[in-house]
Amino acid sequence: MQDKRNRDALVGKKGTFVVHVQCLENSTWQGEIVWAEKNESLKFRSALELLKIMDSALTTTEQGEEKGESYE
Amino acid sequence: MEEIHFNLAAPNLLCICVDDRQNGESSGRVYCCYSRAAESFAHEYQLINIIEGFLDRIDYPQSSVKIRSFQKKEEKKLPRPEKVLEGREVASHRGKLGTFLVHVKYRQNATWQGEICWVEKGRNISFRSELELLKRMDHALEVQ
Repeated sequence: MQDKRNRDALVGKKGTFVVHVQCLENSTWQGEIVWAEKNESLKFRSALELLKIMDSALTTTEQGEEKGESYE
Repeated sequence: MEEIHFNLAAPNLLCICVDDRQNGESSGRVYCCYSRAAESFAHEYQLINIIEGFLDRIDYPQSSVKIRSFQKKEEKKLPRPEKVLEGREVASHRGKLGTFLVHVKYRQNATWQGEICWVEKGRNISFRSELELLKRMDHALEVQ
């Protein structure tokens, strides 16, 4: 029960992302982001790209919800 | 009126007027040469989105790479807008807390490089990423 509560606390209502920042070059971040609900990953080359990637995932989720799809 | 030493002829000149700051998040308006009306932003991510969308729309400067996305569908490209204001008109606006002129000169490494002018202090400084741009603005708003 405690384990389930701990796992639920680590899941976002709209989406969950695991981010690994691997480098700090060009005054920004590079690394990998995993979209947990779809188990898909992308590499990002800047903080801007990281934000746009997360936004694209949440936009995809919203469009899916409108069509009645679920990623759970 | 402060003396501004900045490239007001840049086709992608932006004037960021910060009007409020709550819990470290800035909000305000952004002006450009292609619209008489400002675009409002409620937080930094919205500001980033507005700027990136604007640079993509006028395709200047051209980005050296395509931003990655989880979306499979390509977004429809909007037509290039017409210039309606001169740079000095864009630069004439002022924010309640602070005003910044931004010239993005390059888009390399999936980020932005250029120059920012803190209008109220007449200070110019370059930035090497959008992260650095936000930090420069943040620092300016905190110190005043």
